Amino acid sequence: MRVAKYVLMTMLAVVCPAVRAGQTAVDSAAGARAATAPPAPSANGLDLKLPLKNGSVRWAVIGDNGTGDRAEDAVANQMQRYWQVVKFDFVTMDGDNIYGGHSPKDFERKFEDPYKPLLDEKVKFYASVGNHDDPDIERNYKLYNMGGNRYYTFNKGDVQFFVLDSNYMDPQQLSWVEDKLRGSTAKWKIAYFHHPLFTAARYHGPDLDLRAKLMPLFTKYGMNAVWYGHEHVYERIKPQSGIYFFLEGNSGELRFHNLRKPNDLDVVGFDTDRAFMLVEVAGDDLYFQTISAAGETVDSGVLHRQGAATQ
Amino acid sequence: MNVLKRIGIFWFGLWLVSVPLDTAMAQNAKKDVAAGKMAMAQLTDTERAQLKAFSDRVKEYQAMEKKLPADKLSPTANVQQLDQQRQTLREALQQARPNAKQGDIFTPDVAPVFRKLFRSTLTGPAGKKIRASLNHAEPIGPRDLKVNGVYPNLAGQPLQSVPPTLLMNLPVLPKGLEYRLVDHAVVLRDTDANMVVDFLTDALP
Repeated sequence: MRVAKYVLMTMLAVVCPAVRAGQTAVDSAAGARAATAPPAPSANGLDLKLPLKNGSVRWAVIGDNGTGDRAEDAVANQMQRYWQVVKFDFVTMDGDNIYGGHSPKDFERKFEDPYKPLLDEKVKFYASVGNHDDPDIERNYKLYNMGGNRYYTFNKGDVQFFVLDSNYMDPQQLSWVEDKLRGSTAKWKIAYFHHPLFTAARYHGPDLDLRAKLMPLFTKYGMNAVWYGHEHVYERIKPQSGIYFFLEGNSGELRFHNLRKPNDLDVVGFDTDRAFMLVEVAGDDLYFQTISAAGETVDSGVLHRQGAATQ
Repeated sequence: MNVLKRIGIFWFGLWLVSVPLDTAMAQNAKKDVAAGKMAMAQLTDTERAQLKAFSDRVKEYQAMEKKLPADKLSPTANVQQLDQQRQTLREALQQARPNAKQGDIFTPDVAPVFRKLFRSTLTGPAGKKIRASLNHAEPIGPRDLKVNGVYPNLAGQPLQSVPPTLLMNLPVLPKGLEYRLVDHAVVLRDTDANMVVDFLTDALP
């Protein structure tokens, strides 16, 4: 009986993405229920949790990826597999895009080669700079789409992205963030940068001075979600002042068992393999799925836009 | 009586002169406190004047750089070209200021003001957070710093991030120049040329 039900649900999931999304819906704002439904195999044998709604904004998130080693390749391969189905248009990068040297060969080995299949499909990468990056070469490196700027903003559908340089948050950048947030009419405001404001990872910990400067702006102007890296783990953090936070910093580097356990900050933490994220924004919902280098779904769910009417 | 009268007039005159000075100082300090620049608020007028002179020297440097024939970096997919442009700009700067030496911009009279700003910020209300941020930012150890030399981040050493409260309490720099921390030194870095313009040792307590 149980097998028949599973087969039926699987068939439904393949033909009806909404059913699939509903299986694992997590409303973090409402208290973050764990995603407990069994994974549903879908097209191409992928364990896809996104609804793939018409007209939605879809992207992938990587962070601390630029090692140029096999682990980075493994994550990039999974991204390519999922792209075949999800067709995400762009990738956001949480920084530490290139570790070590920054010669032309390094850019090839640590970026252009691993992501070549995606670059060939015209998937755009939007980088933020981390402390291991060469900010002045990378902001001018065309494939990172930073337009020569350390910090910048871009829009995709209902989403406005604010890409910050957390290495050097000077008064000019803070004024810029405030101006751009004040003037934003986007339904979803999403920021990403390198240094974590909240984290349960032990190696660096949160950047408290940065938090003290950014959180008042984020809360005042209605930031919806924030991504960062620096710690080489994955975390979905409990909403802080109503804002959703993700740490995605293990797309190349990994710091095994670095999360404090137990901790009261994370909804989900993952520190035993590399990973990347898929995100889809459709209307007032943000769907996410975190996939390990081995292809396992380690987290997934849906977040409702703050202030929007609940369905 | 005459002597007493004269003394009275002298002190009255002194008070008259000092009131607007005190008010100007207090106003500057008030503005700084309102902007969260707690260390700046503690500066005397003389120290503020020294920082103003520092900012003028920075502007002169930038004006000189703008006149150089070397191209600034602009977006391209060709990393080699970016490297080459950066090197060309650095060489042009080195040729334009062959006698530049440590202390030309962080002059001996402004050096103690910077040290005071760092000390006050790190011992002020946000000091604990700033120290934590500095420790979490993968601080790099001592490096050989040389005016007109390449900033020592080649071969992949991380650039230590600079806590925002520190930056808030230092004179604002124009685009293209930034403060960077190397061990206990603060470096004035030309970003396009990745070059040390000047540095101040023992800036951080």
